[in-house]
Amino acid sequence: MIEAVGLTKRYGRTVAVDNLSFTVKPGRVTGFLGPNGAGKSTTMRMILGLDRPDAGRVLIDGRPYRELDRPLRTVGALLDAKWVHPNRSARAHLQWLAKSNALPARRVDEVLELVGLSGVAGRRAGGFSLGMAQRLGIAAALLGDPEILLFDEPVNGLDPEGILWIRQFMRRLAAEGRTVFVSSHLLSEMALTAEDLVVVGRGRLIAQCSTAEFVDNASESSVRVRSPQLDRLRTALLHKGFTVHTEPTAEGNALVVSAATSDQVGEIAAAQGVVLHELSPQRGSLEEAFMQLTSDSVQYRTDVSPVAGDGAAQNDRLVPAGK
Amino acid sequence: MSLLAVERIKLLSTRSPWWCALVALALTTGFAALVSATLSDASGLTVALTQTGSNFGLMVVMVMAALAITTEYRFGTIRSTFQAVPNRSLVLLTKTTVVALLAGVIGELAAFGSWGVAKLVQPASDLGLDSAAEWRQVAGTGLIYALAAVVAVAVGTLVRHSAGAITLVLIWSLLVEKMVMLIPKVGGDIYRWMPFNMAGHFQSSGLSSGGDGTNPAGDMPLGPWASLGYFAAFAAVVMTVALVVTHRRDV
Repeated sequence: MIEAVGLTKRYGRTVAVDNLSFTVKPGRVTGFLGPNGAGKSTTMRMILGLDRPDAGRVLIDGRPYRELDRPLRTVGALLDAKWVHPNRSARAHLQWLAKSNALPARRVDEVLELVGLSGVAGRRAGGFSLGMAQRLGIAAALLGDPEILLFDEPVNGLDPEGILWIRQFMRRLAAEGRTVFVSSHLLSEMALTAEDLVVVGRGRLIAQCSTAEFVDNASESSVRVRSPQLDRLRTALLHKGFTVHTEPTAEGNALVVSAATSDQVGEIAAAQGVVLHELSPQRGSLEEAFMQLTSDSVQYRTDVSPVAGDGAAQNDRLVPAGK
Repeated sequence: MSLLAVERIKLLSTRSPWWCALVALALTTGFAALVSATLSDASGLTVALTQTGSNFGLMVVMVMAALAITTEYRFGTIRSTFQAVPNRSLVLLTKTTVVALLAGVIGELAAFGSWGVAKLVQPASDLGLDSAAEWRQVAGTGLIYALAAVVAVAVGTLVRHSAGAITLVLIWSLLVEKMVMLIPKVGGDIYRWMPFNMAGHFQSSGLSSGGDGTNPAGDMPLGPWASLGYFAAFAAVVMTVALVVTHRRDV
């Protein structure tokens, strides 16, 4: 359980994290979503006690990170895979970490096996590819067999094989009942891995909800229909007040009806006696949802979000703020 | 105790401490061999002369000590360290202890190594450690190296960049202290209280011949052991500043 309350961090005049409050519940993957520069990494560093918040606090199971005894046994984190001495071997890197939290030496070999680095454990970490470095970082995070895991942009820069591996690995960790908090600016990635989302923009909380809820609430659903009597259908739909536009397809023109359900469109077609060749609901993507929400967070807050608004976030545009 | 092991693994699982130790030993013993070999008369060789290269070894050891912490900042391992052990003061004190111990061992090896090499080159020379001053001159090297390593770790912690930290400790100990003497009237008085000058005084005071028993700044205000205490206090102050700053700073 991670609990952030009113977390604020300033760098000079730039506010990197602004009165951010959220909770990360145990036993599931929670995505930490926002564009580059939204304050995700800063928040992660504050969770780990590396950076000091200017206001607010963040607690791990009710305690500040700095008060945890042998914290690697409670929280494992991969913030940057490059935080390794390039001339130190992978095994030596894990050995000092294990020693620092009084973990048995055999645990080092266990996690190396777990991430598939046993064969290169004696090689200097500086010669590792990004994918291997990422695996070493994950091995370090798992060293203390922690209940809570933090990953900052774990798939950044990885090849498809590495991405698939990380994705499956995180699902496995969550299936084991751990709390997984993973940040990303890749919205499609979050849709595949995260059940819950904490969405931030310019350091402020935009939403905290389940991924499905986020997409449902935020993205406009539309319906695509194809019919030999397209003009009659269009007239009927416009008459009912729907917004319609024509979309050329391989099978001839189709109509895309905005803000409608397939039920509504099907019933209108039946009432008009129009033959349908296709009636398909178009799910909004997470990207669309994100763009829509962040371009007008005020509207979202009043419509769907349980987030306590502070009134200061009028018409936020998601311009990536500097560090 | 496990933290000592952590810092020992960290220090010795990279190459730079080994290289620094080798270079320090090669420089000090090399100078001892050079000095004793160029003397035509074995009776001219004194204990102090065998330690000619001591300061070169000291510089290398300070580089090693500064690197021990600045590379942690350079490669981000300081974050992993503070993540694993959030008590930053404890981490830094442990690291300082390990680095200082290694520096002390290098110092003793360098000093007795130089002394031994000189004796080998000039077997006829009288290099017995007969006085307290001569013992301080040789065996005291480890103490000076260890305390200088504390200063270097503290400066490295404050500066966080290898080049900056190394430049600062070397320029300070080699140049700035002596240049203080150029200040009119008070320069000499200030120089007498400079920490590395004090450290030198601990080793060289009371030596009858060969060493610079007379300080360039004139009479030193403290005796040899009080001078060492002064140097240790200086190291403690710099270290305390480093601990306070690190405790408050983001990493």
